[in-house]
Amino acid sequence: MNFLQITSLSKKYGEGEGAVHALRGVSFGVSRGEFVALSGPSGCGKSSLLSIGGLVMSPSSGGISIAGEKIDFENEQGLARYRRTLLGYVFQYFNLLPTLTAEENITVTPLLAGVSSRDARMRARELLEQVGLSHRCEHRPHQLSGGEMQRVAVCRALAHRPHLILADEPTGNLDTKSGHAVLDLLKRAACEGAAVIMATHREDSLAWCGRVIRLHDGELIDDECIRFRDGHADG
Amino acid sequence: MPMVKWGERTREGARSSFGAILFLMRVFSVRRLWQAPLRTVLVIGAVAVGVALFLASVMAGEASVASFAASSSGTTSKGVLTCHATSSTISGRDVAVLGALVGDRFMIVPVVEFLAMAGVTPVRVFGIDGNLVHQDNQRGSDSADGIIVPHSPLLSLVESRPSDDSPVSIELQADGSSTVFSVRAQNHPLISQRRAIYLDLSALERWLPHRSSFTSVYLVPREEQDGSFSQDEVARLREDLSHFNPNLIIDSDAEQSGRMDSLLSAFRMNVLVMVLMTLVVTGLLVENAMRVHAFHAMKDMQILRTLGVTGFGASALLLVDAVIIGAVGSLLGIWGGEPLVTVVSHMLMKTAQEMYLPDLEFSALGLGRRAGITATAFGIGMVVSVAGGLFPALQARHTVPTLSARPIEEGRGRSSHRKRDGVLLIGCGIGVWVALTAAWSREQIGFAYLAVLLLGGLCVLLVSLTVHGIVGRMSHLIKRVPRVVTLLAAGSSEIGEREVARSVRTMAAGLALLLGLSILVTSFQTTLQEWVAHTFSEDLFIKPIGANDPRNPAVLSPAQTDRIAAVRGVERVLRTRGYLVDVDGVSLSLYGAQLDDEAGGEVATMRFLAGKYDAGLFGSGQGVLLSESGARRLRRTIGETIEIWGTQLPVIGIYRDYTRERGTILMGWEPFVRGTENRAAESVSVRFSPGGDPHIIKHEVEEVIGSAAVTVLSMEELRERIDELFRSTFAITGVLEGIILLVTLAGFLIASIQRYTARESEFKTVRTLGVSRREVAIAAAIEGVVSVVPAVVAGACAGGLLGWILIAYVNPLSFGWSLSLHLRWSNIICSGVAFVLLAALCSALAAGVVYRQTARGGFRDE
Repeated sequence: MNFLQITSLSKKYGEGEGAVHALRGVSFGVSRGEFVALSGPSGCGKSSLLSIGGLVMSPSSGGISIAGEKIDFENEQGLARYRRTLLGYVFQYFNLLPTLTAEENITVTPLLAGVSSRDARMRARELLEQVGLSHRCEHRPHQLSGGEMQRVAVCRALAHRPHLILADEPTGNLDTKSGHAVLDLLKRAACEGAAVIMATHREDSLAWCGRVIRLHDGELIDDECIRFRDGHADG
Repeated sequence: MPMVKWGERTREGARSSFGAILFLMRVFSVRRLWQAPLRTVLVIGAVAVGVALFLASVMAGEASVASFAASSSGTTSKGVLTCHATSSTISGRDVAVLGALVGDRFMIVPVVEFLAMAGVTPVRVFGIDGNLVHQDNQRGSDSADGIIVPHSPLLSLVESRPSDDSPVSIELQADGSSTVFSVRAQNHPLISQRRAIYLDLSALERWLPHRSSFTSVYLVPREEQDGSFSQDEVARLREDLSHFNPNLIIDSDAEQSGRMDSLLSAFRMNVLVMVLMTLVVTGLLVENAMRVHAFHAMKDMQILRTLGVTGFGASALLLVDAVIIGAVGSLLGIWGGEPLVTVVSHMLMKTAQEMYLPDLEFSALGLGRRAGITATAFGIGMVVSVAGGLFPALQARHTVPTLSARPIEEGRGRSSHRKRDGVLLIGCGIGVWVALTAAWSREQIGFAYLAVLLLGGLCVLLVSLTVHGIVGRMSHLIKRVPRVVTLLAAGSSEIGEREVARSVRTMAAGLALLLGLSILVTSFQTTLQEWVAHTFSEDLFIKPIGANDPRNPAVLSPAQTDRIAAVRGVERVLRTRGYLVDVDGVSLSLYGAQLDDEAGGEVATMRFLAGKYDAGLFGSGQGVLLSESGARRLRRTIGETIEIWGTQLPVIGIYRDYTRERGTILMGWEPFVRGTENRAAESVSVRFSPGGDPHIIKHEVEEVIGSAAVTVLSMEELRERIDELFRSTFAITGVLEGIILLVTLAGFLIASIQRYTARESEFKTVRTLGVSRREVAIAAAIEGVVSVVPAVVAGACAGGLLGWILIAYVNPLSFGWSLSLHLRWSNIICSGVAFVLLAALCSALAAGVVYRQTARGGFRDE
């Protein structure tokens, strides 16, 4: 069974002649353990699809279900619970909280998921160790480089072991080496059982993904399985 | 909700994010304040200033109202009836008859009251039974001849304090004779009037044997009797007394207290208006400050909302900030507000003293630190701060979570906001009109205040509608300044527009309040000056010291007036005298006045609102003049009649009078003398013969009357005194204007900082592209000037309307007299220009505070 199932999803901004159709009847499903890339040119609907899949925006029509349950976009409390327990987010511009240290930024998500502060702190240190930033745990975001900030952001997304991770252009602002490090982290999360959806327009990033969904003008034009295509896809 | 695995454990119970919220409160709220010290100081400083100003007005208002009440109750809580004569002294026979009428119920206490001088200080001397003088003295009647009431002017003379036991000496002068008395400083149970000395009658008789006739009689309930007396008893006593001697008037504490209560209510209303105005402006300041603080947190709130923090959690975080800021700001405000309380209190007391209690000394202000007041003050500060933080908190509650770099906003129709604002604008306009009509027709001042509030709403909506259009076109308006156009174009972004609107509203509201008050004060001053010029048109004004005492005014005898008329260089002497009368149950002053000279020439130059002066009717007693407030209270107009001494007299003119807000009836001097059988004058005005030297004539008048007994003023000096009285009366308005200006500028500065913070990334970019900090400051200053123009226009219009409402509605309904509207265009233009320049300065300062970063800042967003 697909962990995330999207059915006939449409999204329209504005009304009348100036209305913009960001998504037109998109349907697909993602299972746990899959690393899916959303690809396409700017304005094709990637961010809209991620926002709806990430439960931060409601669709104009169609629906989605997570773990077999249909999502009610009117229930704000329920959406917040889904976001803090099941979903993890990686942003293009990192969106770390500037007042918190690297370690504190990572502990936010497990704490929100109801984990004790001791366990959350241990998990944060474990993740920082894994990404080679244990010496930076007391640094605040403005003291880190772009690559370091994105690695901390990925750690934050993984810290509460979410079942669905949504990443919007996570390597868009990084150099190649840092980008590869981030993609490795996401790939590892997929291998550990999370469903990962990543919006990207960089062809080299697709090599880490087992499946590529291509969008054009809000329509799904291609859903391609690229397992075993190269050395990266199977981890 | 599906079951989620966390390692070996289920996350079934992991539903509460309470622990996370507590964690965030600790590391997010508190640390954010610590990590941005400049912003924190600014925000907490704004709260502290707001709280200090608000508390100063509340505490000063409370202290001065309490002081007022204590001072007035000092004269009205004696538990006695006072009998005094309207036109002459009370004889021994009158005292005996009074004793027979009241029987054993009351003790009869005759009093001799007159003015004397202690050095250069006029003192009211009460000659009273020695046993009563010393009844509160624990040691009984000792070596002291009397007591003084411990008020500051006298205490400074005798260098004594209420706690001092030993008698002190004080030299008194009266009727050309002086002697030294031994007195003690003590509160007297019967009366607490300022500059009063109570002497044993026997000691007084030794000093001035001719001062033996009584001026009033106290009817003191005997101790063994029930101390209270009913109004029916008083009415019966009055009726009995009227058969015996109609000139004797009984005044009860309850009636005096009622009069004092009405004065106290008027004063309390003034204080309340001041507190409310301060509350509004400081509330705006605190709300602005909280918004600035919250604005910086909004992006973080958006991230947290995406990560799963609920709307309630997000608002709780900001409310914690509000509580912290409120607590620290309130403590600082209380600490910093205490000196301010003293200043504002004394301003208020000075105003109240001149306006309401000219013959009483205020009790000392109770401004000492009290736990209850401090706790209340802290609580009020917290409430204002949390209320200020509530709007941003609610905003945070509805923050839309986002996944993309730029928030994807659902399109909100701005046109629908404009339609809503337009409907509200029309509604407010209709509301103002309805409230003003109701205020006038029902004579309810509450409706006038409601109109002022609605006017405020109208002003805000007008500014909002105007500013959206102007700011949207800002970049086009100043396209000809190429160096800064890039910066200013950024101002047309929606986020900048919202912040500009807020700062402009602050300026418009401040300017409107300032101009409204300024127009009121200017109109009052100009009208008063015109009135003084017309009413006091003679050369010299002579008044005995103590003439203002409503119970027993000092007078100039006919012999004294004749001596003044005989002074060389005096062409004519015009006499005036009055006392309180009841007409249709309304208490007001009846005055006899000479408005013609002896040759029949008309000298009445006063301003008439209706009717005119008719020398024939007025001089012969066939018509009376009514002051404006008298006409309003008696509900009389031209041609209608008033019953005085059993005769119906028609009203022939209604004139402006700013001396007595309770109203005056003016009748010709000769009919007044016939009615009262008394030719004594309360004051006289003197016209000089051509070539008369004012200094010589003044000196000679003082010589023939005795300089200690009278005040002799040239008209120039009188006008200066009235100007001084005006200034002290409106001193509190000056303070209020200062507060409004301070708060407005602080609010504009804060809103400007918020505006530039909103556009930080845009400005960082242009800094990176080569624009210098100086150019940023210049651009900000120009933008400040452009954006504040609609504020000046709207503020000037709203201020004009506010001034008109205050003059045409609030003033007549409060005091019963009208003013002419006087606009001082130079003031209005200068205020507008000053606001524009201050806006430029604030904008440049705000930009300087926000963009302290180097150009390198443009590369990093975090």
